[in-house]
This record gives sequence, C-alpha cells and structure tokens, in this order.
Amino acid sequence: MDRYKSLRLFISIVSVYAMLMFIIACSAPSGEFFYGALGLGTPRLVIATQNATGNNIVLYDLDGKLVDVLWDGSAVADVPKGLAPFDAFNVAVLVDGVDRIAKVSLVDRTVGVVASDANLTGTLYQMAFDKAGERYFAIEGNTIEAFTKTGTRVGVPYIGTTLGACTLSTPRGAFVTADQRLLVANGVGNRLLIYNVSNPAAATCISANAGFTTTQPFAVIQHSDGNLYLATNANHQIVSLPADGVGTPAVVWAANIAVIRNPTALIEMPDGTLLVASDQTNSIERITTSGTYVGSTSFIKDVFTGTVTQMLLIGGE
Amino acid sequence: MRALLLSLILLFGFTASASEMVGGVSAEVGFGSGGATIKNPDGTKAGYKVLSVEGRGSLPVFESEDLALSLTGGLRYLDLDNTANTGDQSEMASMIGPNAGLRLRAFKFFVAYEYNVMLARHYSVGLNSKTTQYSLPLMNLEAGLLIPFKQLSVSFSYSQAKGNVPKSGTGLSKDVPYNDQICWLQFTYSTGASFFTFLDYLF
Repeated sequence: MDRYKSLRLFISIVSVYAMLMFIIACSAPSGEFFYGALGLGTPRLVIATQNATGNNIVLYDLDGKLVDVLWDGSAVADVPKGLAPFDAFNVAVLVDGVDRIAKVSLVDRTVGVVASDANLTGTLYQMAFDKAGERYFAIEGNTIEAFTKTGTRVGVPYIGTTLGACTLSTPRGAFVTADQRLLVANGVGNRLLIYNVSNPAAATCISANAGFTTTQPFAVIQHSDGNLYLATNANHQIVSLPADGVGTPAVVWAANIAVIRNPTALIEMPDGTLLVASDQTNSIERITTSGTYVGSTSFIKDVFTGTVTQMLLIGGE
Repeated sequence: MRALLLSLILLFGFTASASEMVGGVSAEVGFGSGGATIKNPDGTKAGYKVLSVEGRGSLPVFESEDLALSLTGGLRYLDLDNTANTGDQSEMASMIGPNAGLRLRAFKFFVAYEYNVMLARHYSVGLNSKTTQYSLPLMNLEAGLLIPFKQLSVSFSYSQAKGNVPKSGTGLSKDVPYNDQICWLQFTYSTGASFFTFLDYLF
C-alpha cells in the first residue's frame, strides 16, 4: 500500500512539473500577419506601364482579369520602368523621373523609398533582383547600378559600360538566375550579355553572345526548363538559347506582327507558358515554349497594356 | 491566467483523493488562454493570442475508482488576435465548432484526444480589409489534472491542436499549417449516474 501511495505521489509530482511546462508553452507567439487573411498569398501578375494616358502599375489575376491599379505615376511624370519582388507586402519599382527604387504597398498602395542615390540619374530600364545576394540590379543608361535591399549603393557603378568582353549598349532587359548570373538583353547592342554577380565587390563578364545580328533583344528570362528565352524587339520574335547562353538563338515564335509586334517584356507563368508584352499591338500575348499560341485572343488587352516596361509575378509562394 | 492556474495546481494538486470523485455522466465548461500560429507559405509565421471557451459532455464507457474511459463531445470557441496588430492594420479570427473524442483518466490525471471541425472566420481590418472563411479540421490532444470536490471538479489542462488551413479558403497556393496551445481551467459537474440511469432521469 505504501508503494502504491509512493507511485501516486511520484506521478503527481511529475504531472505538476509537466503542467508547469505546459503553462509556460501557452504564451502567445509574435509574428507577421497571415497572408491568407490579407489576400496577399493569391498569385497575381503585376505590370509596369509607360503610356501617353498614364504611367501605372497594374495588378491582374492569372486569368488576365484586372484586379487593381496599384500606382499612378502620371501626375509627377514618374515612369515605372522596372519591377522586382520586395516582400510579401510590397513590390519594388525602378522609377524613372525622380530616379529611385520605390516600394509600393500591396496592402494600402502607399509608396515608399528603397533606394535613392545621387548617382541614379540616367535613363532607367528594367530591374532584376538577386535573391541569393539580396541585391537589385537596375539598368541605367549604359551601366548597371546595384543596390542592397536596405538601399545601399554597391559599386561605382557595379557594372560599367565595358567589363571584359561585355559592352553595354542601350541595354533594356535584365534577369538574375538562381546561380547568380545576371542576364542582360543588350538592346541596340544586339547581344545577350551574361555576368557573374556572385561577388558583391565586383562582377565579371562570362559571355557576350553576338548571334542576334540586328534583332535587338529587349527582354530575357531563364525558364524553369533551364533554357533562356529572349524577346527580340526589332524582328518581333521570341528566341531561345541553352542555359549557358551560348550558341545561335533558336526561333520559338516566328514574326507575326498581327499578334506580337515589338515585344518589350517577358515572363514565365506558373504553368510554364510565356507572357509576351507586345508594344505595337498594345497587348500581352501568351505562348508556349514550343511557340504555340495559347487561347484565341490576347491574354490582356486594355487601356494599360500600351507599352509594358516589365512584368512580375507575386504571391502564390 | 497562467499564474492563477499554477497557484491552484500547487494548492490543490495533492489535497483530494480520487475516491472523492463521483463519476458518471458529466458536463463541463472550460475557459482557456494561449497562443496559436499559422505558417505563411514563405515560412514566416503569424502569431495569435487566443482566448477560448468550451462546453463538453462526457459519457463513461468504463469507470473505476482510479481509471475511467469516456466518450466526449462538445463545442469549442476560439478568439484569435494577431500579435502583429498595429493601429493601421489588424487581423483577428473567430473559430467555433463541434468536437468528439475519448478521454482517459488515471487517478487524478487525464488525457484526451478529440477531433474538431472549426468554422473559421478571419477578419483583416484597416488599410486592407477582407473577410476570409474556411473550415478547419483539428486534431486536439489534451492532458490535465482533475481535482474533485464531490460532484464538482476543477481541472487544469493543456491542449495542443493541429490542422491545416485549406487553400480553397485563402487563395494561397497550398494548405498551410495551423496549431494552437491553450491552458484551460475547467469546471465539471458529475451526475454520478450511468448513461442509462441518466436517460431515466431525463425521460
């Protein structure tokens, strides 16, 4: 009987100790907002536009339906030239006008500043974000400026006009791969330039593909299939290269100016199809990587899709 | 709340014997406080302060002085308040739903396993206002100490519930995990009657 009481006492002591630990575990944890409750997790297409009727950042769903106008820069002649991810609550925007990298809130549409530097003064084009190095690369004239997420300028600039075999000449499009290669669609320079940007102190030129003759690549991405896809503005094509960017570009979409004319921006959708911003048709078209047109009409064609400077997918993590 | 629970445990934990338990069909009301988290798809977590209340009925399947096994069923309500709330943006949720499960008592200690189906309503208020509704199935595990005073018992327990917030209710690309940890103060009234005797009382 004494042993039985001792057992009960032992169990009681252990249980009270366990209860004490449990009570400590009942504290309320700190954290963020739940994206699902704020509607931030829903995948969206963001486009930046430069139109005579307005310079806007516009939000669409993945079916191409207009969701909201995030930002209107018309009043102060601010042109959103580049888009990049910032965090779940904001989108980073490269603004030409009062030159800066801004962030636009997806929660309340307010505009803040990520980076503003006296050296960011030239004509700006697309922007790319290096997720591994947490840096933004902004095309400025014939140079590329780099900024950290906290707005610190990296380099003077990070990539000058000439670096090894790479010479920037009216570059338009930029994209950073997962292995920290910066792909630059060199516009009128008619080249694909590839830089190694893994070293925060200095970039190096990996290659300069001159196989574009006079076709003027304006946009470049690396697709999830590994290949690089480029939109060539002068001859209205979409072409591809292997992952290393070397070789002769293969035509994915042959010129059909009734559908795609002077493409300016490219992006891969979650299902692997490509969206192509077509300047002269004032539309965004959808094609597969084998060059098949998706749907029977433009993916998006509205008052905002006159000149799309860059596209970005957000949400859906 | 936690200090109160701890004090009560230390005061009463050893003062009553299991033989003072009346047993039989019982009804219980509980009040709880704790925390909850929902994991965002990018790995960040939303944290919540939780206040809760529940009612529960218990039908004994087997009962002796030191051991009892019961079927339980009841209703639980949770009020969640995001700890990141500011004056500009707030997020809160309310969840209510039935539960059913099993409870095993040994001496004055018990463990329970319950299945809850919570109907959740999430409110985002402020600069970004939105209401989200979804159904949240939860597996709930509870352990506690029961202090009997004849027909009335006081118990202190800790519960941990886990489930997944469905993507269909949030627009996210995937289900995201939810869990809560709640400390409970519960009051149980035991009729002393078996299920069938209890039915006789009623009808």
